[in-house]
Amino acid sequence: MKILIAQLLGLIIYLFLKFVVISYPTREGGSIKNTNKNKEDKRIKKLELIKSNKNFLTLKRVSKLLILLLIIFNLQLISYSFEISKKDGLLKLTDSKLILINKILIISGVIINNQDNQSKTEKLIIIKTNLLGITIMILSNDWILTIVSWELFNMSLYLLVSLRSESEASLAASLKYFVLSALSTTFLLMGVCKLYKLTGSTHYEIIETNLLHLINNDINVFYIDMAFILIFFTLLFKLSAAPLHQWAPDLYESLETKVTNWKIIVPKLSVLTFILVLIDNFSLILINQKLLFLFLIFGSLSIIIGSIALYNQWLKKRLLAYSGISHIGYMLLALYCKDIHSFIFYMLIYGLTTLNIFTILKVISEINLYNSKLTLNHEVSNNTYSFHFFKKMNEIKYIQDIAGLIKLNPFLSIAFSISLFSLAGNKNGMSAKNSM
Amino acid sequence: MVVLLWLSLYFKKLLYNMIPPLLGFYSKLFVINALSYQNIYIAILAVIASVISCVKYLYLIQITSFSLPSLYYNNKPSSNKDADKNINISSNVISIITILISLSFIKPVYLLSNITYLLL
Repeated sequence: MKILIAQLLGLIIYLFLKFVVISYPTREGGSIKNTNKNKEDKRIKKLELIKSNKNFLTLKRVSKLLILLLIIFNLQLISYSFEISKKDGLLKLTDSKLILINKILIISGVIINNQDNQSKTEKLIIIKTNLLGITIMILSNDWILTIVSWELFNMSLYLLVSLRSESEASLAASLKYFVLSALSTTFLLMGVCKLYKLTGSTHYEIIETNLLHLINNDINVFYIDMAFILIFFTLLFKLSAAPLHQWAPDLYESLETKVTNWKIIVPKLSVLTFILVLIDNFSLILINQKLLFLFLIFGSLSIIIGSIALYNQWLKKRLLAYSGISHIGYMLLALYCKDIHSFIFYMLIYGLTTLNIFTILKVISEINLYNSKLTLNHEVSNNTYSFHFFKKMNEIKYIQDIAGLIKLNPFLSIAFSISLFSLAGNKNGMSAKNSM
Repeated sequence: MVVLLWLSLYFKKLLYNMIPPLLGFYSKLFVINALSYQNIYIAILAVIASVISCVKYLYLIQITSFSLPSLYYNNKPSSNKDADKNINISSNVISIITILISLSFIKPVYLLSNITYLLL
């Protein structure tokens, strides 16, 4: 009863913040195309009111943080109320799952907060739908719910990717991603169908007991292996592990920096967490059948291809994409070794470091954009389309664009160097020997 | 005098270390250490690949720190307050993450012993 009251209170506060505070108009620039003059006057008056209220922006930021805290608080409440459904429910919440979801939510909250005031509301709705899909996917204890949440997660990503496809290259990349991703999902479905045919159930725990019985009696062992290989094939495609990585550099290059920031961190972390959940649920079968060997093959290939291809990149986003591929390789190798502690450690450090690099690049392009905006004429800066075009032109595209950053902003340069050192993960032999 | 001695020792250690051990190093070290018990050849491959990729990262650090500023930058001073509003949040994120990453350099033993508590 107490939990229900707390959740209701949380919902009321959330709705209040959502409709009263956040939906309040905040756009200060942009074109106003209303023909009705009264509406225009009202809007201008509102904008003046907002400008006069200096605390408004702080209030908006605090409200966003409150929403994030509420989600985490609600999840912690749910963990107590799910004790009943632990045996054969659709969802299963363990402490480790809760901790990982909290970390993903915090990182995604930071990325959402990094969006500027002019970001469109539809993008935020899609991002929140994506988060919902991720949360259900990690919590699910049944393949039907997993597939539904997987589709929700994928559909929101397709929308996010193709939201502002202006150039031909970006359209081609998003279409390529959509087709290949949909194709890979069919492999997941095939694998799940095979498991259902073998065990007669879609529930994780029942599948595990039935499969163990089959393996002990040496029945249909080949089909069990095939089912798991097909499932992991889809997940590895989504992680862009080599040799299934061709879509990733093209797609990241064509996207906006903010969307790339989301796409390169959150889906990867969530799919890795989902793989961890699967390994946790089917550990006996995977170890018995030596299916973790798959991670060794994909991991070592990702490391080699990622590191060698990284060497020849001169475009910023392609470089980060290949860097991501090589790091995915290390994480897969940690999974192969069954070293969960180092896997989670690597995953979170990679997420934080990449987030830092993207934030630095965003700040550089934003400083430059606002400095350049002063030189623009009034008509261009007030026209949304022209301003968006100008903004896109101002994004950092090549590595050489950030040359001599230390002269522009020493703090940013030092932070960038520290993040890159961390991402490289190397140091000279003598100090490595000392630390060992 | 004691402070000067301490500082000289500290800088000697810095020069001796050259590249400080950051959090990324420890995460890779854990993975390679675990891998060395399972498959030593793949562990060696991982070390070689990490050295290859390190070249590009070092090149990036070199061009940001020691090259002439590119034509991309617009060096006119900003008087727009909107820019500061947006950048304030991002700078908080950058400083927090950078401090977290470089904490391992200052006191690695303390951080690594409590890392599970900090991150999980």
